[in-house]
Amino acid sequence: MKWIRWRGFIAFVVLTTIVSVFWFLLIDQIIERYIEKTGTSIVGAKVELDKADLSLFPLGLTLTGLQVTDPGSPMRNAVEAERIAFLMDGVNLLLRKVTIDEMTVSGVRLNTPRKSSGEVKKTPVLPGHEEPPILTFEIPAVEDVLKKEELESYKVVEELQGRIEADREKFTKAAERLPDEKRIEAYRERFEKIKAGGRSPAEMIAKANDLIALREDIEDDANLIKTTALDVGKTASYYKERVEFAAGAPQRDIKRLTEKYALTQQGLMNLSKVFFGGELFRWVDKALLWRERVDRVTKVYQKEPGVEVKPRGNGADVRFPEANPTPDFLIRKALVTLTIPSGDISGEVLDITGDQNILGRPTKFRFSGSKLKGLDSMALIGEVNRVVPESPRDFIKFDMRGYKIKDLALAKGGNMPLAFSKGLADLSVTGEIREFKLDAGIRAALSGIDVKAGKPDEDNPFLKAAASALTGVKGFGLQAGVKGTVDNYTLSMTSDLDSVLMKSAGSVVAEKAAQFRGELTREINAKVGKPIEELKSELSSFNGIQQELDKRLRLTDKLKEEITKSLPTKGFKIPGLSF
Amino acid sequence: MINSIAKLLSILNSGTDPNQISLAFAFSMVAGLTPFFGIHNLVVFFLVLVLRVNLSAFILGTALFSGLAYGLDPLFHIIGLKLLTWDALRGVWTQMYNTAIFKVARFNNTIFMGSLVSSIILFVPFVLAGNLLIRKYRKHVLSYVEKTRIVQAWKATGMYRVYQSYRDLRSRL
Repeated sequence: MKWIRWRGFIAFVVLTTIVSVFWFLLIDQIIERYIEKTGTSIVGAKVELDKADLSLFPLGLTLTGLQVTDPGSPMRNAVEAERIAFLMDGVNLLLRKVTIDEMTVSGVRLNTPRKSSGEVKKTPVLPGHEEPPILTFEIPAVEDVLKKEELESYKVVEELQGRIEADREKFTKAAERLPDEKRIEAYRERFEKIKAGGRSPAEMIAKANDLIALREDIEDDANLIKTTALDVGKTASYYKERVEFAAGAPQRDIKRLTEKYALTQQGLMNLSKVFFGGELFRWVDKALLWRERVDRVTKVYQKEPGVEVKPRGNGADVRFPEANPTPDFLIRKALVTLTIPSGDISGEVLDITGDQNILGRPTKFRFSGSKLKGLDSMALIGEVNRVVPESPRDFIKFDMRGYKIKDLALAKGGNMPLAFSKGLADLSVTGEIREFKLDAGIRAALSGIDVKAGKPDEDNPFLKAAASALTGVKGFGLQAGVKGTVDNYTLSMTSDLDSVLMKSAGSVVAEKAAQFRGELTREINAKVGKPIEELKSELSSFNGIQQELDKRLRLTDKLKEEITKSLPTKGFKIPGLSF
Repeated sequence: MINSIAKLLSILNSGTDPNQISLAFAFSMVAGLTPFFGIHNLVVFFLVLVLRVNLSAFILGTALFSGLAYGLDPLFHIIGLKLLTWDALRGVWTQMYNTAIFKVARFNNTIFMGSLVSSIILFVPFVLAGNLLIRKYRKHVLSYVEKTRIVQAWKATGMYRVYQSYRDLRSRL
């Protein structure tokens, strides 16, 4: 046939075969690079893969040697997995949907060392929270504290001094400009003069009109005095409140600084936060950072029908309603074997997808292990729920029983080293994040512990007493609560250790705190006591202005009353005239 | 550029059937204007190889139209968006969206749809216009150029004879 080129058909088959062979040879490396690139962008630190192996019949993928760097510690891997294997649904893949029924993840290890740094960018900023308290066990000199701290007392007094003086000056000048006693006396003379007028009907009418005009003039002046008097009254009462506030400022400063710098008995009641708080803050921060990374996988993106704009030159993808909506990416079940120093823990993660709203189920996970080396049992269950994207909810529950402690250092350096050389710990953690509100509780019970506390050559009486008390402790309980938002949370903590310390070192603390408070009171009062008294006396000058204005108002009122009395009453008749 | 014009002239001046040339250019228009990596281009390549169209014209045309496509992408986006969001076609697109071929071929992409529909609509007019233009060129321009003294002189040279024999050999291979 003239139009058919059979050699071209052969060429097409050969070319297609060559391209397919090259694709098959290169696809493993393409997948490997894709996983490394995507993983790195999600984690924020290097994600590396030794090998990816795609099989076509059946369609599946096997990944070996996955390493996920810990972004907070680039020389360690947060997670390492020896082998990840899964089969994919080929038909769904043609519909651009990755559906994995079962994935096997084996040889997972946490916190393993790396040969090279896995840092790709600076460590992300940790979520905000109150600063963990720093306990120095030493009370600084009052002079140094006052140099370092900005005192509310100084600030308030300084501010008031200038303002009260300026306002007093302003009102004194205003009072000088207002109608004074001389002017009121002139009104009286005018009144007497009008009163002495003739008694003819025409003169009486003129007299009445003059009296009304005089009363109006006095009223105008009285209104001016009244307005100023009101201003003076308001200003005086405002300054009275501010001066009272200023008078209380030294006490507030003293309380604040004593609580900050001197170890109070109340502070001692919360000493467990000092020992355990820092470590706990780090755990919570880390957990929140990983939650944020998991969220990048499970976050529901806009997949409703409509136009999805792509970068310039790539056009836009228009989405239409699907007959049977299914997630674009779904791992129905991932079986995970986690290897920890105590042994192997197995677990499963269900329904991993970014389209929970389509699937209608949240991502759930559960891990458990028992009769492990140095650990009786552990169980972890949790849920990442984005089924209703507007109301995200994450939940976790962790239980650990019979963990054998060996050489656990809580505070290595500092003034009070604290370590447990042996012991047994039970720990349970529950946590929930509902719409960015964080609520978590931690309960720990330690028994049979051997505590090593303090330095052998310690000469601070408090530290000596505290170390001796802690060394005798054989067991204690600890409860902690984390509340707030994921961006800003607070930690509360109570422990049996608090009362132990309270009993042993309470009197030493009380004595030291009282001494610090006394010195602080003397210093602050010496600086602000006199200025506050001056402020009080300045306030009395407002009273003087007020009294003067009240006096003028009384005089005007009296004169007005006399004028009113001398005016003819309603219905009066003038002889010889009829209206 | 000069090389491309020379190649184009060489194709036009050859004795190839104008249908084969214009069809090759029409196929190259589809391959060049639409995004290269698409299942539709596999069909185009199959047709180009199996049908007796001029391969040189196809390769040259694909290069030219690919360059042109960069400038025309915003226009294709507008056309594709209009088509894909046209209420009258919504039912058709929705049904097609639920098929594998539609998703694999990425027909729901505005540039994809815009460029493919545009090139398919232009395909037949392009072939007819191409045929007409090639015939007119050969009848008027080529016959005039061949009669000029320079060309006559060139044809009389030994080098031309060598070139002619080489071309004959190539066409027989």
